[in-house]
Amino acid sequence: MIPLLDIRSLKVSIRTDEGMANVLDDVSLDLRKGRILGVVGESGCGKSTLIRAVMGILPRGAHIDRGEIWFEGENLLVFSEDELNRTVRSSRIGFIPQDPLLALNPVFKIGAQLLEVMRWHAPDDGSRGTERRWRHVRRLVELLRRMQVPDPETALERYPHQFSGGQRQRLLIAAALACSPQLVIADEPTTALDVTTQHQILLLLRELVEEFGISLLFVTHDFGVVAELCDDLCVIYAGQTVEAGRVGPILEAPSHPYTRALLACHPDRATSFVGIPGLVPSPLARPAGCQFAPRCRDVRSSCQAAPPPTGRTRSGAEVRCVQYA
Amino acid sequence: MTSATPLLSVRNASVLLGGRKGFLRKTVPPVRAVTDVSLELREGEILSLVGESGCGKTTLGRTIVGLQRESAGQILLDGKEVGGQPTEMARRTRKAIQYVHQDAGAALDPWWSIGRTLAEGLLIHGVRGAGERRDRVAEMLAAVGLDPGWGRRYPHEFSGGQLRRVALARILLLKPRLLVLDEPTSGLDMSVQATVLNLLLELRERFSLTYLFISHDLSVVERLSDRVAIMYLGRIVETAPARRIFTQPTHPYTRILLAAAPRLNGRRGTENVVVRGDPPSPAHVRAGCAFADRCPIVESICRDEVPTLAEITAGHRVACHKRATGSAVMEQPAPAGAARLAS
Repeated sequence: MIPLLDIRSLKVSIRTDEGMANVLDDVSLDLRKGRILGVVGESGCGKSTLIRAVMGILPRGAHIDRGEIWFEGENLLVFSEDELNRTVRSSRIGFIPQDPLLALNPVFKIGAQLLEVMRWHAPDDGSRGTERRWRHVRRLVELLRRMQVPDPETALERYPHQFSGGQRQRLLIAAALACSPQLVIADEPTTALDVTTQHQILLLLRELVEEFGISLLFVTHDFGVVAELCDDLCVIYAGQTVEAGRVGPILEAPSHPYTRALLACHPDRATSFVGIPGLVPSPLARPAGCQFAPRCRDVRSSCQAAPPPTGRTRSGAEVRCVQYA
Repeated sequence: MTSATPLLSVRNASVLLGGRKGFLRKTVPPVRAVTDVSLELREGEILSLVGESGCGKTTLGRTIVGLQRESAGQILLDGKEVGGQPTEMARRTRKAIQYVHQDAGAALDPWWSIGRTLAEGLLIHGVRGAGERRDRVAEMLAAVGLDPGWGRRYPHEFSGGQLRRVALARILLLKPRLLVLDEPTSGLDMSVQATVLNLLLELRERFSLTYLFISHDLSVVERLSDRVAIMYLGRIVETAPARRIFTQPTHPYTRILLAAAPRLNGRRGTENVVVRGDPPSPAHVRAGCAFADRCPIVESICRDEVPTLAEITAGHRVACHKRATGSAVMEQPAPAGAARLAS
């Protein structure tokens, strides 16, 4: 089966005052239909740049040096800005941001903001003008009801500050789904929420994936959330995919030394809090060989010489490490 | 251990916040941020204060330090009353209690070198000799795992984890005995969080410290604490030794909270219940049990009477009408929790 989203050897660099920052070095991932893929990495590993590359909203000075982003059989990288707007953003790829308060404009009503998205990106069903708008209102109210927003009819007439953090996140999930996309990208959507609210949102997302037949790309740094929500996992370190495969086997028996070290830091698993010595290499000065070699406990002499090949473990996970080559 | 005077005891403390609001200083009803809270901290232990945002855990922490004046109740340090004072006086009598801010970077002056910021604390606390100040700053930087020479650097030159270390060094220079740590690892990457937690445990040994650890991360709390107090809407609803609270959570809110926390090795599986609604605001506190509206086992008495903290076994106290009696706990067998969400 062809994956819905297939990113191949993506390399993105950004021009900065100090030189070219090699933010994404070699990221590959694939997301199949109806599945939830968790992308995990620590801050500065390139998670946000990856999302921006897929949405085509890379910052000024960014350049895609290599790679392909295939979505439903089309390479998004050859799309023009106008084509992306008309045929991809919101209409086929929805986005749930990290901070719902930042994503909503405080001076416009919820209805005005969400209907604006639908006005530009909702699929054309032949209706025009007022009729089209009323269809959108009805669909939105229905969606908000599904998201368990209280009083969905009057919700459209309220302002962002009149909702709690959890409710705001529900509004934005509705916005992401409003134009019936096939893929939804969520950027740490529960980081700002309390534990019980996070639990509600995760349950809701899981249900929506099945109900709406969407695929979810879920970016997070929390392995606990991954264990609960995701089917597949992709671990990113210093702009590279280091381990990718099904969630269960990887969490049970991580293969890449970085995944192992990171999971060993988790309080649920740590025998003692040791952390990982050293720092993530700066995107301005990447080491020549394996990116993790300077911090790796099992480092060999060959690791620092050349980039390691990607091998496969017995459980089918892809691992970028000489041990599995 | 029980015979010794606790390092800190808080008795029936309440804190009212606000009262006046807006630019016309209009009178609004004050918010009860903390209501009738009692807790004890013994020398050397780590007590975790757990709750969701708005439950009053930070206000309680600030009240203990003396940054916020309590409206009622007593605060005793080494058995001596230190409460009931205006904040400025309270800070002098409670020098042994220090507060570590959540955002370490924001608590440091960006225009001052770390060394100068650290020495300033010593100067305020009466260390006159410049040489002595310099030596003690260098020594403390080494103690928190930083290079003593980094005193010349400025806050922006440090990473998030290093800033937490600087913040700890600044506080430890004042030779405190009790640290109120307000979410000390929030916003840190997991590998960095591990090193900061490790440092906290090391420093506790080295300087014989006692910690009041304010957090909402249950995985960290489980690993770190000796005792845990769960707060809901300004009240402590359950308190017990850490092991006990994670194996036998008793208050319905505690059970829901533990079940909701994402976990690496499957859920805690005490209750497969999704709590309805949002955490309520302390501005609108209802009569009776504050959790009644969201409680799965609510009864009529819960809506009329506020439950008191009652001891069910040694050291394990619960504020719940239905669960406070020993038998009621046993009647509710833990249903096998779903290992994953809806799958």
